[in-house]
Amino acid sequence: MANKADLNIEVAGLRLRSPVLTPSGTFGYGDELKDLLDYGSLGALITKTVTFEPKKGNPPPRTAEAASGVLNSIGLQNVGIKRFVSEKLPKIAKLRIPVIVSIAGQNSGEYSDLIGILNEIRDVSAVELNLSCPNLNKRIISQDAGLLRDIVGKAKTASKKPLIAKLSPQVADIAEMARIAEGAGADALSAVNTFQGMAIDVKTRKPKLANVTGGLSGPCVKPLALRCVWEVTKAVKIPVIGGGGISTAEDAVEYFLAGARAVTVGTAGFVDPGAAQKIYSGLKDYLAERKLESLADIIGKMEIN
Amino acid sequence: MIGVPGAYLRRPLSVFSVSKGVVEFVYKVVGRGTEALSEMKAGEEINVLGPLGNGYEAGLLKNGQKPVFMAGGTGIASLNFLAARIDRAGTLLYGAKTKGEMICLEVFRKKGWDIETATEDGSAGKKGFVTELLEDHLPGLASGRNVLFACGPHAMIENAGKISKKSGFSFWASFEEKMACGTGLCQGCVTEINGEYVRVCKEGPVFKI
Ligand SMILES: Cc1cc2nc3c(=O)[nH]c(=O)nc-3n(C[C@H](O)[C@H](O)[C@H](O)COP(=O)(O)OP(=O)(O)OC[C@H]3O[C@@H](n4cnc5c(N)ncnc54)[C@H](O)[C@@H]3O)c2cc1C
Ligand SMILES: Cc1cc2nc3c(=O)[nH]c(=O)nc-3n(C[C@H](O)[C@H](O)[C@H](O)COP(=O)(O)O)c2cc1C
Ligand code: FES
Repeated sequence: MANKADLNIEVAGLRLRSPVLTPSGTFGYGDELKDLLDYGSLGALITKTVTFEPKKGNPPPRTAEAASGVLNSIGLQNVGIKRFVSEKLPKIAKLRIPVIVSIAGQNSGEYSDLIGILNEIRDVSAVELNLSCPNLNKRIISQDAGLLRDIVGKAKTASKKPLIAKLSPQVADIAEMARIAEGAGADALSAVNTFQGMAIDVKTRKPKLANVTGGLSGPCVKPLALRCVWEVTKAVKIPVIGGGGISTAEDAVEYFLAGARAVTVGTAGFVDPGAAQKIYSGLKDYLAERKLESLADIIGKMEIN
Repeated sequence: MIGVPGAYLRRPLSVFSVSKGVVEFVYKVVGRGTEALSEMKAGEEINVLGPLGNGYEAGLLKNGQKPVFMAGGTGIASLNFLAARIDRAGTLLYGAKTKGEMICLEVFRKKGWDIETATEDGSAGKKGFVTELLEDHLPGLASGRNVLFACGPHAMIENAGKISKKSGFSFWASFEEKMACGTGLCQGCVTEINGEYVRVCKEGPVFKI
């Protein structure tokens, strides 16, 4: 039987041929896997977060293994918006996948300046705001309701592109933060970023990350992230891109059932470069086996009792 | 990158040798992953992602130039692979913690290589670090008669780098850093080269410095 299940999906006005996306910071400059992955299985690529000025990043070691996951403290290493636009973006555009550019600034002015530059570039399909970084006063934007409202609001005013706000899981009430981002004008939400963690080498007594702490991702965060996504999808009407620890099609289905409209596969690709492709075809099979025609038949369809 | 039972991430290992239908790796048991590998039985399958990254450029030796290899510990693995692909013998400088950890000496000897060793405990060769063996070879390297290829721990490469700067020659070095993906995706495995962090798995692991 031909597998006719339709995996097209619309998110924030973007029509995507696949609901499987690569989340920010987990897909190099984009073309690294061209011999190892069928890029046709990807709906969009979210770039490594770009900042206004180049950032050197944290010293190594920057990654440490965790039980079923990874800690990372890359420190937003990137070449800065200027070189990103002139050198990196043209190469990413050649992959013929919609490109969502992730940006981070130290204040609303910097976010608006970055958006001003991206507005003019045809190859940019949408902008994602990485809000899990400290502002000039060392306050984490996504953890501060006032800052979140201000920055998303001003970014929305500046942007001609669909705007996605990426939420941090590390807040007392993620549903409230989601409502604030929606109210300030976000066209979609990404949930969630990594969870802060650390690890210590008991032989040397040194932290395993040079930065001491870092973000935890991979299968070990899936139950935590899934709960966040469920809270968020209940709270807002705008689409939610869900992710955190997705490694199999079943994992992805859980996120759809919890209400996500698209999913991201990051860390799983470190271990298995073909992960996104397997998840894409696994989703098709899941729908076909149940004679379902589209993702709409599972999105938000968790059945409680 | 080698998939290891019971560990989430793959482990980076160099290819030690390739012959008809057989790819060999040589590793030292240092932690959970290599221990699990060592407990596998013959006939069990492992999942390998590779080869990845940039190796030494074989064939870059010009007429008349001789190779000098500097291996620290398991760094001998990638140099053994290189030795099989170049058409001439040279000098192997080999350092390890102790004599028992040295491998391949016979292979290099049979191919006509000169071998100088150093061990930290003095059980073979000079007592001390392998970088101290470099001293005698500086004139040849500085004049371009010889070319240095180095693979070993960070401290060894760093020391060799200082020496090479002082004596005015560049060399090929294979770096080791903690790796999560091995394919350039995570930007985790960086080392600093000319003031910039570059990915060891993608732009390296072999760099000219
Ligand atoms: C390019 C490259 C080639 C290598 N080739 C060889 C080889 O041929 N033979 C060999 O014995 N060893 C080699 N190593 C080192 C080898 O990767 C580590 O000894 C091994 O990963 C340790 O794993 P473990 O689980 O036993 O140790 P653990 O300390 O339990 O590992 C924990 C984590 O740290 C990482 N890690 C620990 N030590 C190192 C290290 N020195 N370099 C990089 N990552 C490390 C592991 O991969 C793992 O993710 C190479 C490393 C690199 C980067
Ligand atoms: C190495 C690494 C780098 C990351 N860099 C960024 C980043 O620059 N910006 C961002 O918003 N999220 C970043 N993330 C978070 C991921 O986009 C994703 O939200 C998270 O890893 C959870 O998904 P996963 O478990 O599928 O990887 C990074 C994650 C990893 C592992
Ligand atoms: S290990 Fe991920 S970029 Fe090198």
